[in-house]
Amino acid sequence: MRILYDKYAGYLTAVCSRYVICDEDVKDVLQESFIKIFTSADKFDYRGEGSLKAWVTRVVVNESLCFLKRSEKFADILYEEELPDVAEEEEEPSVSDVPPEVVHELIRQLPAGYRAVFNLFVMEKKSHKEIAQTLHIKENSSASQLFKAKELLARKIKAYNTMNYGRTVD
Amino acid sequence: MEEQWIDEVRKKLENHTVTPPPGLWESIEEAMQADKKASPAPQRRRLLRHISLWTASAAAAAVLALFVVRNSASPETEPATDGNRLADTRAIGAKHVAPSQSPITPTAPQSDNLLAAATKPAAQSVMTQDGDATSQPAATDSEPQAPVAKTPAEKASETRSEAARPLPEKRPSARHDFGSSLADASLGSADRHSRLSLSVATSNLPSAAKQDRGYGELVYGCIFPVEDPEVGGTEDLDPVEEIVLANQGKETTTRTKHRQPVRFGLSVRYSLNDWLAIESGVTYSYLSSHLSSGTDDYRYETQQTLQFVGVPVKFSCRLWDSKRLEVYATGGGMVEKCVAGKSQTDYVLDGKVASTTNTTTKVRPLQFSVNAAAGIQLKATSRLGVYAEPGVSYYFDNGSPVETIYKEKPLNFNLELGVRYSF
Repeated sequence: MRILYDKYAGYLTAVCSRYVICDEDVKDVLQESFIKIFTSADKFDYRGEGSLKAWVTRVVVNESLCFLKRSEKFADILYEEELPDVAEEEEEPSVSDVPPEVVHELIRQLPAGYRAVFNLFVMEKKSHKEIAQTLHIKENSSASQLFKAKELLARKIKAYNTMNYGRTVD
Repeated sequence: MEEQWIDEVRKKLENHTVTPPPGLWESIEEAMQADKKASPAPQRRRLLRHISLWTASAAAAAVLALFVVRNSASPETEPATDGNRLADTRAIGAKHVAPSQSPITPTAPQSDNLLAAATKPAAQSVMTQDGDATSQPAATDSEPQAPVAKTPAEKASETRSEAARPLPEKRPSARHDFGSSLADASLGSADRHSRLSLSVATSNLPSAAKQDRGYGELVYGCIFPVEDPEVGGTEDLDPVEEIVLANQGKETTTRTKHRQPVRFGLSVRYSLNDWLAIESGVTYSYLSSHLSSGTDDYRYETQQTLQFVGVPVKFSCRLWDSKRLEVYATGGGMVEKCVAGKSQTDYVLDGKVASTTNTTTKVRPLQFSVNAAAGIQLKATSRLGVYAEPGVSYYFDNGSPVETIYKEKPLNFNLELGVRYSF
């Protein structure tokens, strides 16, 4: 058990904290997740390193989403409220110089609904249909939230670049 | 379609690690030790879910049996409230409607106690989800976990016998959490759960009244026998003959009044895809009719009540869906069977009730009908909504000799109002 923990704890903390931003909550969610992992480990059909990592990731993602649902952090965002207009067709931000910790932090700063959709789509590689079913929203709601999440994140990255490297995106 | 920067973001975070929260391992260890003392958590949860399913299904079946057998005097008010509470219980206890899984309770228990017992396993399984203290005041009502060495049957009867417990107060939040804890355990099949919804409703058809000349009867052949009367009648005239004699030469009228039928039902709706769903359930209808035939002084009056149990099947097509409102159209049919019926005829001679006869009325053939309606649902929460379905229905003539409002006005407007809970 300890071996499993040591191997994946850091990685899973990163996964969980992408979804859950309060550190106390992250600890609770991870605790629940690990308990689930350990108690169900006998049922897991081990097919190699990759499948184990994928499975523990799934457990943590599910547990995080459940936590967010329970604490109703989604409620406001997921029903297509009117949001401020954003400019269209901005250039892609430059990510290469941004440290991973910063990217991680910037994602955590996104509002709950955007964050969840962004993470599920980009990191967990779910389709909009799957996201819609998981979060109980409509497919086109998922697509529009991803769009807005990307715009918001892009602006954050650009702001970071400007602050730290004194230049705008080229 | 993916922008390059998104790919880079993903690559950066794919194997990103963050220092775990301090004390995480210790708290995991602690929790695992505590868990070992009891029995494995997932199995316990699963067991409780099975029990809630059993108990809820048994409760539903028993309450249904109760309604079918009961000949209630005031069906308008009673069934609706019972039905609502049943829906709440079902919502808490039943993930799927799976009657084949459960044995039907043989005795006729009080429906109150069963409802209380059915909500209790649900409250218990909510308790097993740790970590959420904020919205679970109801869960603390439940007893602490008993060791699960008993077989499921024993545990089920145990929960049933502890029926004195009142229903949890803050049911809406408990219900919500139970739903999400179920979704948690089986997120992979989340789509199936969110497709199901349960509703309880009452529906009303208008009443009908008519007036004809001459004599009439609610059941063809009941007042005026079709076959020849038995030979060797007594000297006394039977009341009908007295009435007819007394009214000779006078104008007689028959007034028939079919009161507004009262129907309530429980149904389950399953979404086949984004816009189409299929719905079925069970309905109970109470029909009451009154006939008065003759003149003021010499007449007979019949009061007839019929109770039907029906199974509707309909398709619904979602036309518009938003955060607060859903608009849809439904179409389908229903088959009903008369499960009980009685009629009482008073014979009024010279202005006074001289005699009364009571009979049981049976409508033997099945009653088929088709209906189409538009529906509008207001969502109070993401899972709970109230709806109204105004529509038209057509009742096919089943060849039965009994006069009902279905026969009198086969094409009718009806309005169904209800509450729908989505899992």
